[in-house]
This record gives sequence, structure tokens and C-alpha cells, in this order.
Amino acid sequence: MKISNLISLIAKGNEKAFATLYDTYKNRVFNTVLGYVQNREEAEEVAQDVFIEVFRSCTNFKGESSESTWIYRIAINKSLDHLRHKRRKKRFAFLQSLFNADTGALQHDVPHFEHPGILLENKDKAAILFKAIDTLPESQKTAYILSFVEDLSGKEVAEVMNLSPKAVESLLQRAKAGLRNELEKYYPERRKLK
Amino acid sequence: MNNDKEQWKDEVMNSLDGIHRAEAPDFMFTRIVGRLESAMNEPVSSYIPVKRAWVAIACFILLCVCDIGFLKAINHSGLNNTHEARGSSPYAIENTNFNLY
Repeated sequence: MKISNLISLIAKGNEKAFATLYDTYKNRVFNTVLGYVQNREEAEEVAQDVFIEVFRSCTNFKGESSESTWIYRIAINKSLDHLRHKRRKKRFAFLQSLFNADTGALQHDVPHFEHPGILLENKDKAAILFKAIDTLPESQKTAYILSFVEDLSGKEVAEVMNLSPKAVESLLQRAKAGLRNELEKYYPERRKLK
Repeated sequence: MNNDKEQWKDEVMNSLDGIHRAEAPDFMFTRIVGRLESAMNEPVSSYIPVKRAWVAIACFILLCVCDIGFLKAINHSGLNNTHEARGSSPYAIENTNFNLY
């Protein structure tokens, strides 16, 4: 069955159609979200939010973009919302830690993240790269994650981000330069990896 | 040394090569359906978390305190200026020479 038909069926409340759509996109959504939030449990929660949003806003889908673009956009927005919320919580935790002498330490620190799809020999280096990805500005992060974690083509990324392929290319260039700059900080850690 | 660093950076940048898509956890769909059902059965409420309400009140009080402090500071400096103008300003005295009779 065509995905566009599925969406119109879901809009009518058809649960089977929703299950089919879920099966088609579950890994794409989860993988994209995981690239942003870098935590399996949180990624599952955000991915659930994405599918709930898909179910609720099916009636609003006008078909101006492809279904996959629409679902990717929801996944990206939910992930960015989650990261913003986390950042706010982190700031609040910092203020709390100023008044709480017991802990002293900051809560919600970025933990070491290992993407489950990374080749074994690249695990440690990829963990450092993900730390660096986390510091990128939102648009560069989106372009980088869609291109290198989700492995979308330049054209697909441009469609999802509603930009021209040239603009995406420029974002990727800046993201790569930013990452290389950020990696300077982690260079001393390389010996621990060897 | 520099070459070593650049090579290491290249290796890190290429560490996503050959990445596989992460698979969604089992039973995620069941949880989604569960959440959808509970959301449908839940009555719509206009509940505001207590913490958020306290933050809003604290912000309002802080704003009022700042406003009052600012107004007091302006009034104080304004009064000082008028005293200066009446009393000690050299221009005030000199102006009397240009009075028209």
C-alpha cells in the first residue's frame, strides 16, 4: 500500500495503517533521534513522541512534501525540542548546584555515547565525534546527522531542511570545520584509546 | 606532531564510515499505542506545575523590586539635578544679566 494512502487511513483512525507506517519508519526515526539525543532511553521516548505527533497531525498533512520528509521534520523538531528542554534543565541544575553544597557536581552532564550501529574498531573514535557533534549549532548538526548518521543524499537532506543543495553543502563544510576545531580539545585523549 | 594530530582528526571524522542504522527497541509500538489510548481517555486539564508557578511569582516580585529601585534612583538623581540648577550653576547667575526690563 502507498504511504500517502496510509496517512489518509491513519487520519480516519485506522490502527493497522498506523502499524504499517510505524514499521516502515521506526528505524529511520529512532536512528535520527538517537543521533541528536545520544542516549538510548531518551531516544525511545522522543521517537514515541514523534509517532504520536504523526498520528495526531495526519489530518493536517497536505502532501506538499513527501511523507518521509514530513516524518523526518517531525523527528528533527522533536529532537531539537528535547535538547533545548535538556539544556534549560541543565542551566537550572547549575543554579541548584550553587545552592546545594552536598552534590557540588553538575547534573545532566553529557555521558559517553556509543551508537549501536558503529563498527567495533571505530567505537571509541565515534564516541569522541558524537561529543563534538553535540556542540554544533542546530542547522549544522541537522545537516551532519542526516548526511552521515542517517546516510541521506544531499538532495534528500536539502528537501528535509527546506534548503538548496548548495546551502546544505555549505552547512556541511562549516560543520566539518567546526568539528575539526572541537576535536583539538580531545586530542590529548587519543593515547587512552591506543 | 601536527601531522599526527591531523591524521588522528581524519580518523575520528571518518569513524562514522560503514555505520548501520540503529534499530528501534522492541515493544515501542505497544508503548506508543498505550500512550495514545491513555491520552484519549484523559480529561483535558489546565494544570500548571507548582514549580513553574513559583518561578513566575518570583520573577514578578523581582521585576517589581527592580522597578521600584530604578524609579527611586531616577527620582533621587532628578532632585539632585534641580538643586544644582537652582543653586550652584554658573549659568543661572549669568542669565540674570540678560534680563529684559
